Amino acid sequence: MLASARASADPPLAAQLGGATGIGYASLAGAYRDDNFVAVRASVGIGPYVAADLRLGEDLDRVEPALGLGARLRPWQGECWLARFSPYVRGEVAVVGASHLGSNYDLTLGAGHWGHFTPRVRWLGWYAEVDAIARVGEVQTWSAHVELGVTFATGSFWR
Amino acid sequence: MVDAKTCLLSVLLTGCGPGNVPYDYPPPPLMDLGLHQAPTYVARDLMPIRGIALVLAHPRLGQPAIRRAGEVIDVEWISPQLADQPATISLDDGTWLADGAGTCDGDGICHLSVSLPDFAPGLYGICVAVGGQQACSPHAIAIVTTYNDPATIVHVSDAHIGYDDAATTFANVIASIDAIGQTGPTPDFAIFTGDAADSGLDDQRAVFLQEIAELNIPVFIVTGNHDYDATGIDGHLLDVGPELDMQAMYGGLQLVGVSSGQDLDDGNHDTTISESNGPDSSELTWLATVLTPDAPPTIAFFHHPIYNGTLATIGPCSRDALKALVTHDNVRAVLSGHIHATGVFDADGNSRGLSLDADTVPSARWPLHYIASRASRAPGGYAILHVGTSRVDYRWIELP
Repeated sequence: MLASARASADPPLAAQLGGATGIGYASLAGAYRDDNFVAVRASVGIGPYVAADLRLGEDLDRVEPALGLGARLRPWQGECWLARFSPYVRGEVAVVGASHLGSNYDLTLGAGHWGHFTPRVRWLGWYAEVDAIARVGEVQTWSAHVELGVTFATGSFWR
Repeated sequence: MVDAKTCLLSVLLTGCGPGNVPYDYPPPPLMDLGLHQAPTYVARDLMPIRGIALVLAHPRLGQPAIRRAGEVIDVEWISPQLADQPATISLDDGTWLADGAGTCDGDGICHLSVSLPDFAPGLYGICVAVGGQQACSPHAIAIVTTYNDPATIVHVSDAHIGYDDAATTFANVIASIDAIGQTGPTPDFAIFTGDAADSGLDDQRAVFLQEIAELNIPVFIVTGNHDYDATGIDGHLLDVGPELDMQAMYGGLQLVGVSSGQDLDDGNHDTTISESNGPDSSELTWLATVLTPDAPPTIAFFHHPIYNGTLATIGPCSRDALKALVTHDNVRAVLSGHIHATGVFDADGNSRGLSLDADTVPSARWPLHYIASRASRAPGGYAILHVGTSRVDYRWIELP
């Protein structure tokens, strides 16, 4: 009870650091092994089921920054499932410097798992995602990515 | 990759830093004429002001003619006050090539077709003499025994002579290019895509040209935004050549070079970041006559890239038009520089699936848009491309 009161006093914030890779397809290029990416995500929990994300990503193989706004929705609260396994779906819209500044957008739909390594350490967690990405604008591609990372969260985030 | 990120910062700091000022732009008479009419500006304005009677316009060190022995070259010179007098064309060692008045327009821009004798393969300087005046250029003619398909091309960009120790690094780059032939076939020619002089100053350009003259292969040179700095374009028109745009042939391969002009970040275009103010309408009109759907396999080259991951591209006034002009089945490659980082894109602007280091580009993705990193950033580097009827590949070479 005391722990719960302390947790609710914290702002429901999380930060995530992850890496991604995958495959892509474009009309001229055909199918190709996609680049490697790193992403930092700052999140605000909105109740126990929703989180809003601000994501900054960068292609590790070429200069191609991305800034995205998205949301995650988890159908189960941790305690009702298992505290360390919390599936979610997510969506994101990102502006990407792919061929020209601001000329491209990535529309992402994905599914993932978010959880703690151990229930005793609430501030440290992990996540894994599979994303489908449609790039629209001047460059039009399709991608499927796998992203893995760690997450740092306050006690009240997605309680 | 870390290097590319450092480059991005470099572009932000040096390419767009303090912003350009009006005197960095082409002089008003040239802007009124259009950049493609630069020889006319040279004839009408620059030569009278500078008291120059004769300028060799083509071929020159940075706009060479590559031919087999016995083939014909077009020699162009500007002599507004000597236009009715016969010219003598010779090699710079005095070997006579031709005499004739040529065909001159009202500004004294003259042309004469010259058949090349049976010279041995190599680089030759050329001179034109009119009315007691003489103008020469080294390495203006390259005699070859055959036209290779694909051609082996060295792509160099952004020397920025005058910036820190760029001159030393660039000298090492030139020495490295000259040494290629010691371990394999000598490249067929080089293309330099702008920013020779960091501040557009005469002494910077002189060092650049001194190094370029050391190359043992012909080189085609177009301007970058820094070449316009500090009224530097006037010096460029006299030192490098009065033609800002060029169309040349290497056998069956067409080469089309364009000056993409000065940056647009003049304080009046707040939404642009190191984007160019060109090509202007005169250049686009000319390009439409050489970048036609039935043109031979073509390489187009200019300073500002059409595609770029973040910023610093061909300006918004002409980007769509230029992109449409180079997006033909017969255009094999579009070479550029400016951003100080290597970039590769296909015809659609997609860079994925193409390595920044080396790759072969399938024909479905042509033209390759290759952006060369800055040659003079230590330890220095350049790209080698093979471009021809049925092959396009590239490789970035970084000096040890």
